[in-house]
Amino acid sequence: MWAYKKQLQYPINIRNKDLKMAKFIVTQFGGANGELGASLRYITQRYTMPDNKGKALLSDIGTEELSHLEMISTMVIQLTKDATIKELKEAGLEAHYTEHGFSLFPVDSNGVPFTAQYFAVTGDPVADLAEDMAAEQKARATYEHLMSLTEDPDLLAPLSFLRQREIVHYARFKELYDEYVEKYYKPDLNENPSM
Amino acid sequence: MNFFHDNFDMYPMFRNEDTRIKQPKLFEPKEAMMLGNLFKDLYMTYNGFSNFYIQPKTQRDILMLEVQTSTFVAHEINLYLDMYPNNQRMIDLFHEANKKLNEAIKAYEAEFGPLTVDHSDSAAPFEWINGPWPWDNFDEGTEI
Repeated sequence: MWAYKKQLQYPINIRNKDLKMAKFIVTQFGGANGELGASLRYITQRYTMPDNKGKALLSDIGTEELSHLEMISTMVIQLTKDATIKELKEAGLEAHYTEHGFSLFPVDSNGVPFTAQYFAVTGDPVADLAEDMAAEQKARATYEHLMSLTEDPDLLAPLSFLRQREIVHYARFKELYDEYVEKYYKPDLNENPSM
Repeated sequence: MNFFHDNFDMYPMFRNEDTRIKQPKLFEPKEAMMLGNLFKDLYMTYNGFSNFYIQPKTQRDILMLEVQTSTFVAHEINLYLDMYPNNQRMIDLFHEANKKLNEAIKAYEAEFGPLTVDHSDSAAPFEWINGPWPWDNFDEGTEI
């Protein structure tokens, strides 16, 4: 089960309204490489991990991704606070407003809605971990693109923090990936001298 | 890979031999919280960008940052220990971070109310529902 803590993983206090950045940043909520997809991918994959290390790592990183989802949601909500219809139109958000008002909705920056295909679960631990490593790198790249699009320090700080988390997660997944390749695919020459 | 490490219990003579486990170099808690990374060897900048130390403005922000920092350090060590469960030094640091975290939570909750619903032990009205919620902009006060 999960328990809620009334705290953000990293403090967010955005002073300047910026609807365009909200439109871009929302991709880390509902995009292919976003935090929602990451969290649900790991939390779904953990059931077919072959040992306790895999179950622990995917549970713990999957849980952390939920707190990133909360950070991204917080950024989007604070960036769009008190927006007028005129400002929404200028940022190209009138279609979003038509469907969802001022609510969050899991879409990418082109407005394409979230799909369960983003989970990308195969049931093969090595394939799944390779997917996870790629996902962390793609999310890192997306955070770098977002950092290039803004000069607001209130946004750069949490974006840079989240980017760094992708790097740490990648390293942990790679360690587990290497261990599983060694454990399940490398021939043991002592037991099978013919190989 | 990591033969001695993964089969530690089979080799009691190595059990206390810390030198066989590579010890990661760590950032100080405040620095790690600022960067989003506890591990010096994993840190990579983007275009030379570096975060600044977080500057909490209110008493609430100061106490919350203590909670966030210890939560972060404990979580980073947790992910490390998932992969390297035999590293005694990191387990000691994990316990230390959790001790600090519990103190920080107590200090925050004494002034600003429960962080988890099981710590909501007030008489009516139910204290848990009070704002600000984490996504509320703290600068704008507590009532939304």
